[in-house]
Amino acid sequence: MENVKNKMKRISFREYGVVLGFIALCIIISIATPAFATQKNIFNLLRQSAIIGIISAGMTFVIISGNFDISVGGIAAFSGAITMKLITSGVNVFWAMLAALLICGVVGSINGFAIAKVKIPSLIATMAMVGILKGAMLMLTGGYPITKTIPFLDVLGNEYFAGIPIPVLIFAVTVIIANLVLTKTRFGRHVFSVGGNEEASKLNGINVDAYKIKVFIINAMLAALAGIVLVGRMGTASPAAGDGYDMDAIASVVIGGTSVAGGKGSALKTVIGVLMMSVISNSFNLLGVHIYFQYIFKGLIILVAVGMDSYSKKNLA
Amino acid sequence: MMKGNKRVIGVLLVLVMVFGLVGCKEKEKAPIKDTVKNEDTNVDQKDEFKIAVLLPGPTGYFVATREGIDAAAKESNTTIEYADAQWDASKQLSQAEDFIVKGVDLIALCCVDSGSGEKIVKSAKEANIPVLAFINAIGAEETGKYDGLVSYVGQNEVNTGAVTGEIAKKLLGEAGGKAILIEGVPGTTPQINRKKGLEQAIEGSNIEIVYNQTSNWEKEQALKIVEDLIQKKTEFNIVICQDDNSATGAGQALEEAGLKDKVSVIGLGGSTDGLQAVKDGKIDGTTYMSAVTEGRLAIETSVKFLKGESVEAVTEIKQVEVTKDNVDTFKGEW
Repeated sequence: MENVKNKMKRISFREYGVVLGFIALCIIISIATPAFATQKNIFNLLRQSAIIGIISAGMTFVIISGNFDISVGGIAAFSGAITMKLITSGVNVFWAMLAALLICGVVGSINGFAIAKVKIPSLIATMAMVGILKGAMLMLTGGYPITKTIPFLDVLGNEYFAGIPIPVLIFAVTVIIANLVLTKTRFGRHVFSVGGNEEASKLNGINVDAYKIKVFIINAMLAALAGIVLVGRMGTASPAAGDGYDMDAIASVVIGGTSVAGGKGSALKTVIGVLMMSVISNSFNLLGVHIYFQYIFKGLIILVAVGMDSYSKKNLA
Repeated sequence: MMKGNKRVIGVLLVLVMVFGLVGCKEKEKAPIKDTVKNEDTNVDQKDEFKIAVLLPGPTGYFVATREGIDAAAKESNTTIEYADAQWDASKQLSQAEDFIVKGVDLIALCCVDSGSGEKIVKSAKEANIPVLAFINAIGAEETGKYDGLVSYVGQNEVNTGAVTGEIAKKLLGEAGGKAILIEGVPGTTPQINRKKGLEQAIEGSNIEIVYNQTSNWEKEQALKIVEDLIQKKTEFNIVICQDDNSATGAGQALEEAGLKDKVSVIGLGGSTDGLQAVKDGKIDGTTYMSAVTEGRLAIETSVKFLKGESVEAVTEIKQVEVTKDNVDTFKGEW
C-alpha cells in the first residue's frame, strides 16, 4: 500500500510538476506585471513561441527516438533562403515553399542516413550538417540577406485568422498532428519503441533504421516550415538566422518532460516547455530584467528539469 | 501514457480559457498610448518620459553609446530601459513588441538589420508609439531618412566611406596605386554604403581597387586575408578597411611580413585600438566620431520631440579624418 502511494506521488510530480510549475509561473508574473495578462501580450507571446514551437514538435520525435538534431536552426535558415531566392527569381510562392520543404526533407534524410546506416552519433552528424548548410546557404545568397516583402508570406507571418495569429495556428495544428501521430498511430508507437529499446525493437521486427531516417525527415521538414514562417514574419532571409534555435528546441522538449534517454515523451508536454521558455523571455522583457539573466535562468531551468527526470530514474532503476 | 496526455490537454484547455477570459477583460482597457505629442490637445505635457532603447548586440561600441544615453537621460529626467538583441533580428522584434505592450513613450532603435527595423517601425506606429532610429540607418536612403521615424541620429555611411577615400588620396598622392578593400559583414548597410562612399571618393583618381574581401569586422580574418595576399605575391600599395579592428589586423600582417613601410593601411571608426595604432604607426589613418555624443544626441532629440518641439528628420554625425598629424587630439571611447 505504502509502496503504491509513494510511486503514485513520485510519478504525479514528475508528470505534472512541469505543468503546475508553468501555471504558478504565469500567476506570479501576472501579479508582478499587469502588462503580462493582456490579450496583446498573450498573442505576442504565442506568436513569438510559434517558430520554436514548430521546430520543437519535430524535435520531440527525434528525442523520443533516442537522438538529437542540432541542425534545425541551420535547416530553418536554409529553408527561408531557398524560399526567398526562388521567389525573387520569379518562382511562384507556393512552388518556392514546396521546394524548400522538399529540399530540407532531403537534408533530413541525409542526416537520418548518416545516423542510422553509417552509425555516426546524431550529435556529430547534425553538427557537421550545420557546417554544410551554412556553406550552402552562403553560396545560395552570396552572403547577403534577401529582403523582399512578399504579400502571402507577410500575411503568413504577421496576420490573423479567426482572431488568432496565423503562426500560432500553424503551431497548434502541427502539435495536434504530431501528438496524434505519436499516440494514436503504429508509426508513433514504433518511434517510442525504437527510442526506448533499440535491440528489442529490432528483434520484434521493427525496421529501426527506416524509422530513424523517417524521424529525421519529419524533423527537417518541420524546421523548414518554421523557417518559412520566420521569413514571413521578418520579411528577410538572413544567413545568420536560426542561431540558437537547436538549443531552444531541445530545451523546450526536455523541459516539457520528454526524456533525453529516449522512449518516452509527448508533443503536448513539449508545448508547455516552449511556452515556459517564451514566458520567461517575455516576462523578463516586461519586467526590465537584463537579457544576460535570461540565459542564466534558462540554463538553470534545463538543469532542474532534466535533473528531476534523470535523478528520479536513478531511484526507480 | 494516454491518461497523462488527457490530463495535459485538460490543463492546456483550462489555460487557454483563462487567458482568453483575461484577454477579453483586458481588451477594454488595452494600454494604447494616445498621448499625441506634436498637435495641440488638452493632454497634459509630461515632463518625465520613459524611453526604450533597443540595441542590436553586445559590442564594445555600445558601451560608449550607453554612456551618452545615460548622461542625457539624467539631465532630462528620462527613464531608460535597455534591451540587447544579441544580433538576432527576431529577438529584437520580440523585444520591441514587448515594450509596445508594456507602454513606453518612445522607442530608440539601433536595428540589427534594416528589414526588421522597418517592421518595428510599422508595429510601433500601429500602437502610436514614436520611433527614433540611431547608429544603424533604416531604409534605403543614404542619409538615414525614413518615413515614420521621429528622426535618424547617426552617420551617413556613404560620407564615412568617402572620408577613407580622401585619406587614401592624400596618402598615395597623384601617383595613386592599387588598393585592397577589406569589408564588413556583407549585406549590412554599413558595408554597402561605406564601399559606395569610398568608390565615389576615389573615382577619377589613380587609385584602383584590385581586390575586395570581407573580414566580417574581425581583426583575425583581416590578418588572414592580407597574409594570404602577401603569400600570393599580389601587388598593392594600400589596404582600405571598413573598420579599425580589420585595419589593425591588416597592419599586423604587413608588419610581420616586413612590408609595412611599403603599404599604407586605413581603418574606420576611431576605436581606442585604432587611434593607438595610428599613433604607433601600425596603421596610417582612420576616421573618428564620438559614440558618446551619438548616444546623447539620440536621447536629446527624442526628448525634444516628446516635449512637442520640432526636430530635424536627420541629425548627421560626421566622421573626420585622423592621421598621425592629428591623432593626439582624439580620445578613444570604445
